[in-house]
Amino acid sequence: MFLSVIGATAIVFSLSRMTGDPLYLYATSGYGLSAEQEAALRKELRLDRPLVVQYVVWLGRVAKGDFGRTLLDKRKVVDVIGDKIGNSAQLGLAAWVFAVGVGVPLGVLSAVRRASAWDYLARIFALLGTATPGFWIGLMLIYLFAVTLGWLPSGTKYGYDTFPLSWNNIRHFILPALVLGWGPAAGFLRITRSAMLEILDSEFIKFARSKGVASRTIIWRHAFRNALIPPLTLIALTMAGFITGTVVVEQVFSWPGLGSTAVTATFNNDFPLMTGIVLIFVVLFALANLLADVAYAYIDPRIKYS
Amino acid sequence: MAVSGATTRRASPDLAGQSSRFAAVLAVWDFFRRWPLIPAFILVGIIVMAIIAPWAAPYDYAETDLLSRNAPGFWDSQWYKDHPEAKFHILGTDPFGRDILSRVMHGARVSLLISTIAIAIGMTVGTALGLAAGFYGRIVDEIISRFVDIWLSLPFILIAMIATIVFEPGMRILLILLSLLAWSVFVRNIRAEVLSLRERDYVNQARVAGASGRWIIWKHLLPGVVNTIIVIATLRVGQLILAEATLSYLGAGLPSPTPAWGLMVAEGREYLRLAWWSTFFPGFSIVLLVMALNFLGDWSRDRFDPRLRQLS
Repeated sequence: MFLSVIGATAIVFSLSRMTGDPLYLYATSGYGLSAEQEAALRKELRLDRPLVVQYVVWLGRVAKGDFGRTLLDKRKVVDVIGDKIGNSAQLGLAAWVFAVGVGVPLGVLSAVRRASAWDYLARIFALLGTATPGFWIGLMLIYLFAVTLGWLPSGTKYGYDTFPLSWNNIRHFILPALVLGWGPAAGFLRITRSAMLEILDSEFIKFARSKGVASRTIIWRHAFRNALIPPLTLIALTMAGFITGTVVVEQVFSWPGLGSTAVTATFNNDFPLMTGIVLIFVVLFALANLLADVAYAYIDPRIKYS
Repeated sequence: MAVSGATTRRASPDLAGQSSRFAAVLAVWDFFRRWPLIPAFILVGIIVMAIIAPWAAPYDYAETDLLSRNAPGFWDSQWYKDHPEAKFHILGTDPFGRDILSRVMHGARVSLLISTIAIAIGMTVGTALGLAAGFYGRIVDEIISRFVDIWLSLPFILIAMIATIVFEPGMRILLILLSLLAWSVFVRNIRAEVLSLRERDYVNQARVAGASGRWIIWKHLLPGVVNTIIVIATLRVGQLILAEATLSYLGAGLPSPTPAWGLMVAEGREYLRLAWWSTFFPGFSIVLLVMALNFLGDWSRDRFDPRLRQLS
């Protein structure tokens, strides 16, 4: 896993070196740099060393937290990232809560009430979640709820109330979290549903029913708990997916997070900023996957790792 | 033959003992699940639309008509009465005055073409690597699996965005990126499949008979994984289309004035309040196409290889 992160950083680094001479990233004035000054700058920045050495140096710098400065306004990349990452994390958390809180119960409901309206609605919800592009459904929801109905704000995070949990502040989270969480919710719904269906057919459930145990007890205490393994592992696996989802959702809703910063960095060809953001995402991705593996091993004691 | 998804789908009473009133609706649903007529019609319809676009589209997809910018479509005849000099556009125009219907039709060509080529490349490369990893094992397997792990640990959209800063946005880089997105699924699943097939008797007998590795792969293993390939391909095409649309929306895909659906949504975004049709129709087409493909993918999985149930 560690190797994957190193390999990923190597890929990011080599991509960054493909834009051409990186000297211009560091020299504040590209013009008027005499030949000797240029050579001296190169030597100082170790640009005359082989690429592998440059990579190692860069990696060392990154490990110490020096991501360089943005091209646009020369702010330190770590500062920019530090400003925005909290907002992205909050949105990701809200979306995750939505996805788990809606996806799993709907999955149970859909399995238990198998041929009912709930099942029908839940499956439509799941279908739409996997087929609709986030940017489109986000824009349509904005049009519906913000422009036409005026019920919800059309973007940004700031309700400008001092109390952080006021309704005015929270209502900004509703649409973005819904859009970001819809896809994962669809996945959780399907897997919970299929796991529940499988468990509900098993012997011990039939035995409990024949014993006369109440339906609700059967569903929740017996069936649901045993059906939790696949959904939990999927939940852990998709945590990483929220990270890439934020790029689009933040852009649509003008959410001041890392994702929208990445989009504007792309437009401005702002290489250092882009590299920094990608690195952070790679690390977060790897951490999420690691967490997923640990959770998986913890949840299902039958799994043993060599 | 009909090992379809209709396993236990009759209108059985649920656990609490109530029988459902919506049994009829779900019976219809399940009929269409068995024989995916609706998705097939939709898909064929979109393909036909894509093919006849150069001739059947009412306007040229790049022709701007600045007098008719953000014109509405058939639902707003009042606007056309107010602007008698404007030409009629069935689905309206975008902020540059380009006809939406024509662009949607040409966009179908773009989406279908790109996703087909990408899945074909991804399928070929992924299958080859999966076969090699599964069959030859040990070092080859290690290396290939490591590559896949590294690739999967990268957030795709961001890498795509960096790649389009480095290289110019265009068809070629988009195809490369989408193929890279497609290949990893194939590698893992084909490898797993080969690992199980490898121990079968007929393979061992072929080995004893002196068949070379390549012969065994080509003649024995490959036909065994064809089902898996088909299922994975049909399940993943939709994902590729969504990825292409997302990249085009973010500006990291096809450049203007290509009528890529994602790009159309992005272009219409500024005028969403005034002219919702610029964003609605291209996006809706994406939804239709991906839903149809997902349905067909599910159906093909149920029909060809139900063991892949957990895949999606």
